[in-house]
Amino acid sequence: LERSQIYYGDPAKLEQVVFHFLAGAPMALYETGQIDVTPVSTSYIDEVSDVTNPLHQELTVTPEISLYYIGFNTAKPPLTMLTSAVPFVTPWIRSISLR
Amino acid sequence: VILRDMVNEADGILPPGMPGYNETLEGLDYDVAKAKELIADSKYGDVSNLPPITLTVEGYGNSIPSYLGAIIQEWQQNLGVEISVRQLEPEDFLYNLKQEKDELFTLGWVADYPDPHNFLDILFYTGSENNIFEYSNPSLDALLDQAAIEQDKAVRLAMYQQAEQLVVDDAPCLPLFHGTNYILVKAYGKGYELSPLGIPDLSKVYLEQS
Repeated sequence: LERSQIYYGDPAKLEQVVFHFLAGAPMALYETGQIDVTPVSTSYIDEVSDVTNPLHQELTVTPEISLYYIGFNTAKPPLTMLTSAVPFVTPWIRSISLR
Repeated sequence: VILRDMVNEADGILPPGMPGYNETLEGLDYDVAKAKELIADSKYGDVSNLPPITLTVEGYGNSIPSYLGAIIQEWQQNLGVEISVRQLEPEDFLYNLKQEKDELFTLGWVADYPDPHNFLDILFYTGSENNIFEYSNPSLDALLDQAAIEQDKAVRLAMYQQAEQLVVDDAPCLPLFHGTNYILVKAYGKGYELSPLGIPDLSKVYLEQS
């Protein structure tokens, strides 16, 4: 991604940003200095949350306006919607505990 | 435990921070006995009569998130329902999911704009491009049509809350969690801010010379 020369606002401070897709384990790339920004997965959350770990100083936590879900294909049995699915879908929902 | 408290459990559709977010929304309860009773009362009568059920997920190499594994295991242990998993390549996941989804699928939605229309209308209106559930409820559609033209903000948000409860009660999806971004940025990288819509404003980022 390169700085736009015709952007209407203040020009970007960086000339270029490189995104690496499927380039390896993100945390390994980050810790070896090959990339500058990375999301943190659940496997590393204890490590980066530890205030005595130097990585903690580089952590930012921000809310995301999002929803993650398991979707039901209501066009296929056994989840065919409305006539038969509601009483059938519900027990699935009720069988879940993430707590 | 599995998600290490990194995210907020979702009872409904609208995330915290979204106008119309309903703190008192009633999600569906965890009730194994009731689940068994409902399966027994369904036309299948018993889990042994169910058709094969597959969960379509994004990814490679037979690896799925541990929370999904836990959910599948709970269905198996609590209800005796067996679920198979099928992976689709991440590159074209959404496109292929629309074409060849199985009975269940996992997906997420990050807001494009901070209005409940962006979740309730875009995901659940009959025939909407992103209504991958192929869900249809004419009462919900009528309510969403009304909300879309309502000028009074309070009345409009109340309509969306009513619409959200309809969706939760119909259960075309199982809400799992609302996201939180955990990002590491090198100390010399300044000005990196990720918006709640998941998009960083890279124009303000700069490198501090040491």
